[in-house]
Amino acid sequence: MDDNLKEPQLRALQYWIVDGVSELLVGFIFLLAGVIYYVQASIPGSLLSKILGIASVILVCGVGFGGRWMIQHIKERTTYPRTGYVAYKSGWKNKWNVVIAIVVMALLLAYVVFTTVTDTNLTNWGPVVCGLLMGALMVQAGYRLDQPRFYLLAFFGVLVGIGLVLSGLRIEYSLPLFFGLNGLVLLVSGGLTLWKYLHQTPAPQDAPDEQ
Amino acid sequence: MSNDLRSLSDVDRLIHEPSRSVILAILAAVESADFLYLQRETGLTKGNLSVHLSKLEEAGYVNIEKTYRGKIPLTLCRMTEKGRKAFDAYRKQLKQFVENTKE
Repeated sequence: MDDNLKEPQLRALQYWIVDGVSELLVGFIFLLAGVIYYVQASIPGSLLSKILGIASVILVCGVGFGGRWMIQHIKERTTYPRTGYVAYKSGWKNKWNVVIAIVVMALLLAYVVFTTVTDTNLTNWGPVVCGLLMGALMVQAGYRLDQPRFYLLAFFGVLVGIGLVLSGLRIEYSLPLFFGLNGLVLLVSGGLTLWKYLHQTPAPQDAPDEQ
Repeated sequence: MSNDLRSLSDVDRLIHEPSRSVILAILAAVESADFLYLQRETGLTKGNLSVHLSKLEEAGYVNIEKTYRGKIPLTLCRMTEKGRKAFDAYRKQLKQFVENTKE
């Protein structure tokens, strides 16, 4: 009996990713990060390289704090007029989400700042670390939201990370490639999901709200 | 009447109606949802959904806010603290009943 109530609750949570908008945004940001890292690697030690290093820090912080707002803004035009509006409880109310976010952000910031300021190649294992991190987040989301496509994205992320390290590419090029490839895959996955969603759910003809 | 059946007869009748329990289940999982979303999820007509929401609002379980998104009217539904407590109690009662009647 109680299980019948879990289904609409799960669907309400899945609604956030039903249109692929969040994947599109993450894919775009990954692609942008890939371009930034590639330009940095192409002109190491230059002023532009240092500016881009700072830009990447701003990008990470911007996604952390403004990503949800950006996704909401896009959904205002695509999803909500078709299938309704849902506002979610703040993820920051869950203490574990806060701890995970702080640890991940701190590690990423420390890595980016250290490598930018000291011009040091910390390790060639960067893509694997990023792949595992991305894979863990995708698996967690896939499990919580019961979305098999997230498992595929996780698998691809880890596979690309391992493949790039095994290829022997220097991290200056393997990391941009990691973000670029995963960004493209996320864009394709998000684009297909959005296309399918728009195709299956035409905008209602009558007034959307008549209570 | 056995204790098991008595525990089931004690459940909140207002919530026990299938459509209203689905509405509350959704609102318990999110911060708020609009009329269109609830209508699609419950499969109710606009009139029926309005009646159910009004009953839940009268009981103080749901807060309904009429606003606008741009020029489009928007009816936002949010579960109140009283509604949350009532819904939690209802789920516990159901769970208890299922546990007690397991073979």
